[in-house]
Amino acid sequence: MTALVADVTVYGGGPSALMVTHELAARGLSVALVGPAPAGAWPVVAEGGIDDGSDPAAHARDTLLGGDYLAARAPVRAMCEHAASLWTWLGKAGVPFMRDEQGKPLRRRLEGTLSTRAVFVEARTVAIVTDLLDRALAAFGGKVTRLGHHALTTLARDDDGAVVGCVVEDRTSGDRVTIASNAVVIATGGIEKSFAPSPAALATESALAVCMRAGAVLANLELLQPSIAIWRESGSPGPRRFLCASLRGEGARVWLPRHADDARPGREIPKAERDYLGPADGDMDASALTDHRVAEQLLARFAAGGGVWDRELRTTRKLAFLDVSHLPRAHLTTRAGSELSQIARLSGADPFLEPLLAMPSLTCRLGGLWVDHATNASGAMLLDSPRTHATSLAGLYACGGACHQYHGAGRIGGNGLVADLFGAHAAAVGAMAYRAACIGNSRTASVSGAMTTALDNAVTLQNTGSTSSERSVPRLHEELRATLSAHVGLTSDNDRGRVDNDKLTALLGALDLLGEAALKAPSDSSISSATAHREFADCLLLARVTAHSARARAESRGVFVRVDGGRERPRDVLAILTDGGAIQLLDSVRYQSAGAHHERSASIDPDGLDDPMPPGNQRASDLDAAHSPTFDAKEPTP
Amino acid sequence: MSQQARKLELDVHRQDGPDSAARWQRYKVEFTARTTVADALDALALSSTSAPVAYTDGCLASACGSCTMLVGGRPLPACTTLLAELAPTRGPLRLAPLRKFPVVRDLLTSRTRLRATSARLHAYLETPAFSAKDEPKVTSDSHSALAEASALEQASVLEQASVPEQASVPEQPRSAPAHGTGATLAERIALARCTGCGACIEVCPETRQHGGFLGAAAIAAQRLVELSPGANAARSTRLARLTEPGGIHDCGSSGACVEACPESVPLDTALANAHADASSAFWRTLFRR
Ligand SMILES: Cc1cc2nc3c(=O)[nH]c(=O)nc-3n(C[C@H](O)[C@H](O)[C@H](O)COP(=O)(O)OP(=O)(O)OC[C@H]3O[C@@H](n4cnc5c(N)ncnc54)[C@H](O)[C@@H]3O)c2cc1C
Ligand code: SF4
Ligand code: FES
Repeated sequence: MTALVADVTVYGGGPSALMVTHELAARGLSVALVGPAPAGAWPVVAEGGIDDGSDPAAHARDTLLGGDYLAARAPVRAMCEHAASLWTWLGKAGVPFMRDEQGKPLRRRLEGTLSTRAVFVEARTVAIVTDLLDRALAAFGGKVTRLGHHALTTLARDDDGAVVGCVVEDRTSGDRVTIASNAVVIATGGIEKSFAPSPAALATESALAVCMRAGAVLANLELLQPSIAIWRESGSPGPRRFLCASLRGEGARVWLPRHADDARPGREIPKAERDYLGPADGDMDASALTDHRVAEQLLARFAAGGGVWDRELRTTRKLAFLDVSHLPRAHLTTRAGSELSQIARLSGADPFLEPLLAMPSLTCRLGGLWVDHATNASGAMLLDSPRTHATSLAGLYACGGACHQYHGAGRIGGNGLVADLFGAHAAAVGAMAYRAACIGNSRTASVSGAMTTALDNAVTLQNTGSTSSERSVPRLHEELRATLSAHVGLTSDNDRGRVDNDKLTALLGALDLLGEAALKAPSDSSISSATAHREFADCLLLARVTAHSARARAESRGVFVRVDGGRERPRDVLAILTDGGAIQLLDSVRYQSAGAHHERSASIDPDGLDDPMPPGNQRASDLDAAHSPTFDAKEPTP
Repeated sequence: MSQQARKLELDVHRQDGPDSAARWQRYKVEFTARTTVADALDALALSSTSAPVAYTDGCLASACGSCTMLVGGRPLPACTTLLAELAPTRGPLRLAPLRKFPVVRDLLTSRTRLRATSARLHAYLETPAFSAKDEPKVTSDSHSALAEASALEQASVLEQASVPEQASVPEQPRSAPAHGTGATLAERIALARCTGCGACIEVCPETRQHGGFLGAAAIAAQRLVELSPGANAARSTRLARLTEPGGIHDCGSSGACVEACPESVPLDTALANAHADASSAFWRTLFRR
């Protein structure tokens, strides 16, 4: 067994983890970066672009409205104020944002934004940012220690409950490594195995589940955001898809034939016989979260008998047309050429001539580890405070897709990476402030004691079963994915899990059965057997929290559509695990960090609630019409 | 296009760990015109109760490079390689791990080598910490113009902020990247398409599991840095590294990498420029003596 020591341990491998590591190392700290190698992750396809920060007020307004008032105001404002610097910083870091001959950046308009603000590199912005950040870490030499193929098993906590390190495990050999550090940052992303399009995906759920078992609070796990994706059939379970934020940003339209039994290929259906969804001009809608709404509209049409089928493959899944054939070829080729040729090859259709087949699909979980923020006297976010991006466990920080901050109940286009990188910077600064506050009372003895306990606690779910069982661990993951999708997500046959209490009770029952089956499952020896079983248990735990959280949110809010609910004052759904293993929901988070006690209510902090959106915001009523008839434009004033 | 499912035999390389013995395992799969190698592997994982074949995927869109393996002997991304394009008319199709990267298990290899080689060529910009506090506060009207102006001024800003040159090479950079437009920007974007899939290293006759040529991907990464605004810093370090053992002198100009790259990264230009830089550096040293 190896024992490492680092100032901070960072967990993850995407843009958030790399950025936290960069920010810590550039400020002189030593970092252990634990994550997969190669670093590939599903969200790396993220392709729309990032907000250039050119209009902080509009950016903040769009963000808060897109999040349906659920996002805390101060962090959103701080993020929007820094978005322009962030973009400049990325340019300095070598990201080749596309520009025209005059050197002016190319921009596209993404979902939920009122103006055209997203800068991009083809359809690969996030992949390129990730790659450049990854290489830039070489500048810090031995300050950064990287452990690939490892999974977090337990957090080490001292007598006061503060996180003082962790135990990680090689996913193939099962060998353990202890890492003692002053703080641990979780940056493992928001897309999870239970929703990912491939059974070979890593279980992102693990890190969150480990933290939850140690006592951390999770927030808003029920918020799952759909978008429109290009359909590609395969023999495998989850449909494989290309998310097409970039194409939507370039003006792609989504439509259905007006007549449900129209069997003609899309290109032969005249305009008059097409039912276009979303805004008429093909532009991204001027109201919040267009694609979420288009997805909802589609599902309603499907339920009423509309939709097209993939005739060639004779699937029974209902689809829609996603159409770029009306757009100028040269324009599209410059701006999304490589994506389009890939799509052409894999779908067998020429997107310049032929409407493509698409479907609603989930893109992200908006909730995650609950994190705090600090404000100064005038209500602005205070960055270098131990509360910044602090979870409810002292010494444990989270950022990026793994935390619940910034997006509220809906993420607008171009905000993913901005929130990840700004949040990563904030988490690094927060963790440093925490470290500075506790460095005086270092207790080496209690750290080694904590480590011993953590190793003891690194229990693995025992595999008691016979190898003759029909359900292997990959099979169980697939069943979990299908069950979750049918109840709280989207299913590929488009039976939208519009949530109601009966469905959720059924879901919890189904999850219990899967838990029992897991005990009998033969091991998945592609990773160590213990790891495979534990990761399934982790996914199951998060699925249970999702179901409980969905039950607790008795309203429609942003991307969460509740058929049997009304409209409430915005609040976070906070979940914690009791000692007995039950999931308990909280009205507020109370925690202690760096010697101080803090409390934050589940109700969205009054900060800024009575300060209405900046003038010019006409869109609350749009949202009203689309969402819930009981929406009061003046809400969220208590 | 055929809509009928056809049948295919796959011979898959199985290996339990880095030091274990390898064996071939045969599977039968069905495929249609749109089935990828990854689709087939995933279907196998779900249908069998024995240990699934280990490999890793991420983006499923040929953007992350994690799923590269030898398909019928060629290094290809499993996620976007169609079986129909490769299925042999007779005999099974072989899936094997890349040979120039250490096997973790079955088809899964560790790709940390790429990170190490680009670090060795100093193929990165030394980017200062993002400082939220120091940035000037601007109002929304002037913001856009200011942000653009500052983006264009990056080169000069970075020059002041960056680490001092380790040795002095008083020549011009080989391009004028300050504005980052036109051909330079186009080349940077093309270079940035590299996903780190490792195909170029796999097919290169001069690379080895250990030692040998560092490989085209690292040379391309270095060129990407060279063309970036602010690249003047550490330029001489990069040049020195380029001419060390394992550097450009070990490139045999076979052109295999250019053929193999699934992303059409302009490796030919990158390698040609590296050769040119190395030889002009050589002549410069001669003159100084
Ligand atoms: C289809 C799609 C389109 C998008 N488009 C845009 C866009 O246009 N603009 C934008 O700004 N944002 C976009 N986003 C969002 C953006 O991709 C995410 O916000 C961003 O990737 C999150 O970064 P992250 O580092 O927090 O998490 P991730 O990128 O998810 O990275 C998490 C990392 O942690 C690793 N990891 C997770 N769990 C484990 C574990 N148990 N063990 C080991 N390692 C683990 C993963 O392998 C991965 O490397 C899009 C996302 C998707 C899915
Ligand atoms: S240069 Fe091409 S072949 Fe080489 S690693 Fe990059 S993408 Fe792969
Ligand atoms: S999964 Fe990313 S390249 Fe294949």
